[in-house]
Amino acid sequence: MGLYRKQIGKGICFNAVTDERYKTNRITVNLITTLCEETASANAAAANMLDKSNSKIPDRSDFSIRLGELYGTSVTGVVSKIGNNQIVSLAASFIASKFAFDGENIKLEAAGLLRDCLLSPAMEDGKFPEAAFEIEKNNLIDDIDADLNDKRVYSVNRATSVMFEGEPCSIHKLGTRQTAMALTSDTVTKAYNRLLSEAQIEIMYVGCEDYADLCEYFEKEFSGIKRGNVGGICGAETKIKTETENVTERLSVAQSKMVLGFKTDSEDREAFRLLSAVYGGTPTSKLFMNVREKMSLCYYCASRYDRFTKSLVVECGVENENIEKARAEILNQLEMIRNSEISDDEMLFAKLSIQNALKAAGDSPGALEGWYLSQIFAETSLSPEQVNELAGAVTKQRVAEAAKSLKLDTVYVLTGEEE
Amino acid sequence: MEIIKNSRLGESYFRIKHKSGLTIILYPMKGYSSVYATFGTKYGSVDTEFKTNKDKDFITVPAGIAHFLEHKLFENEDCDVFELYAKTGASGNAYTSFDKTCYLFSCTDKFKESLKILLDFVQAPYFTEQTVAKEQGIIGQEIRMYDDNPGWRVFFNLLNALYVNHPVKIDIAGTVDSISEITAELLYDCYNTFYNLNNMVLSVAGNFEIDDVISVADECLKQNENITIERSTYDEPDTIAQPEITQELSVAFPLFSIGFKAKPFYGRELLKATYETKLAMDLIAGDTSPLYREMYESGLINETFSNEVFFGNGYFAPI
Repeated sequence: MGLYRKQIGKGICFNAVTDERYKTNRITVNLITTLCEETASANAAAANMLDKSNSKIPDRSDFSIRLGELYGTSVTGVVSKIGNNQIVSLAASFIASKFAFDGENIKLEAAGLLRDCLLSPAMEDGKFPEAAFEIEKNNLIDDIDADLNDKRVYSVNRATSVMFEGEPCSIHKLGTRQTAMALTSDTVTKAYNRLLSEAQIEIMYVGCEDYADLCEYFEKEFSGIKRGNVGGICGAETKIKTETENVTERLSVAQSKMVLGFKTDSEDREAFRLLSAVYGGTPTSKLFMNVREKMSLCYYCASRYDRFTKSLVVECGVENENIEKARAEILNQLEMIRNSEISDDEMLFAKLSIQNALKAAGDSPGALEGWYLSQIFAETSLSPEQVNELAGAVTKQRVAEAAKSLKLDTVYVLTGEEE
Repeated sequence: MEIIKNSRLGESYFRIKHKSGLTIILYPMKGYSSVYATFGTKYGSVDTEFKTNKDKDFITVPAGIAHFLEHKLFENEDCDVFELYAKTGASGNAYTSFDKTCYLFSCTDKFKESLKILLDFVQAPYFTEQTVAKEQGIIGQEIRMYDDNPGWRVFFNLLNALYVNHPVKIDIAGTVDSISEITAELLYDCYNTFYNLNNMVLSVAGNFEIDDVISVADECLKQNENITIERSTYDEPDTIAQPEITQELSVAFPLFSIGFKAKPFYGRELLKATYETKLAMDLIAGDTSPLYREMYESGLINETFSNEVFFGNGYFAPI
């Protein structure tokens, strides 16, 4: 299934994938801007303000009731990041209209709700209502602080902030506690208006129904927005340290976490896809089979490649007394790949695992939406099937070269407090 | 073969009682790329005291053994199950909950081969004292990982406050001490009781042919004697253990959980009670209720506030 893409305004594109198998549809409006410490929290707070009401249904309970009337449609504000970019998204998920009891056009009703929430939010005196804003500001602060509750997420975020210090991608997708605490409804309203004016806007529709009327609808509704200097998508160029930075943080934890962050200047993305699978991406990968199974050093030990920051991260949960042994073995396994010590089975298993994941992407509207959004960021429009072919052609030599290009940038350890 | 239909959705699925005793549920979904298969047993962490019709007395096993057994089944005598799945390209996994243990895979190719792997390895237990000792180390690390999870801790603390004797209050993985008591012999006792096909279900959904499942089932499933399993009732009083438990952890902000202890239900009454209770809880504190709105606007809760009906053999608690 291919992507339909049409520019419908200055820096505004409508994208659609249809597949009659689906029973639910999704429309997501993504507002893309460069991550910046001054604006990240304000943008995130704007997302929190948009998904609970609009000017036509200003009461949040009435809004929830309306969603219930539309057969449990959901409207959700989400903030994410890809590379150096912050993405403020407003997403509607709803059943296919053919399942409605009385022939209602759920697709257009949901599109209308989304439009009203995004373009006509509930305001008082030209800004977000104070009482509602104060609640969402506190929720945002809680969300920023909540990383601490999940030590695995916390340790990866901390490692990222060290790896990319000074670069946009080091900034947390929700900003900082300090900037969030300084927010006012005035500054968040300004952030919202700035996003509408300057963010690159990618509207994604994935569903079983035709998209022509949706494209027309959004083209008409977005034509009234005054657009300024649209920033576009910020690419990634990262500094590679000459020496590894080691950071240890102590908290009251039962299990330590270790994150090894590597950077590369290589552009061979498909080789890195294979490398990550062979190294630590599957239960038959080198890290799983050796660090966990053979040596019992870690409960989990996995690798992940991010092409938008040109980095590869290994993260593990490890007993305090095994930290150094685990680090040594993780690096030893990478060295083996650099020396082309990759078996035919390891390559085959990695390719089959990648093939399985890529083929299954089309079975979920959410997964397919994420796929094509990442394609837009990569400035390509490859289908999962096409990428599978490219991955299938990767050789051991390319994987070894990719491994050689990796430089260990940061080692972050979260461990228990000293007694 | 029983056919269950939904005319509004235009969907149907099939339910078969295989000659081996296994219940098989089949949901073909034409046009999809992937297939999901789950092979599960009605055996979970709460089943720590049980007997069959062949046993004179109940046997008691250490907490965490159902989860331990799940880990060990992946280790064949000849090779690792993940290596078998790797050859077919399938993605395999498993989980243990309070009342069931499930082994599953998803694939986009070589479905019959992957299904054969699933049915074969779950029916081929291989436990030795050496492999048990190795797993104690790995599961010990898993337990410690969950010790750091505040959501997990607040939930189990709630169960410890609600329940006096019932093993539902014990962590699904057990404790480092309880799993140290597990032996290969005990694993076989549990396996031979609960991994009887008459106590199990195979469920398949996605792009597959029904005949393929039946042919693999006919080839791989062993004949099992139909035994009766009796699970202990644990002498659980109506009263709670204690009204409140507070635990300090390094968290950004507090988490809380409120539970109400009710008499357990069974059979059709359980189904009815579950829906009635969920509806009542949504009316009282769901996101369209006045209470939710009042608490949200006063900053007492955020969007993570939710409710569920928690139930199983001998326990029923709106939370």
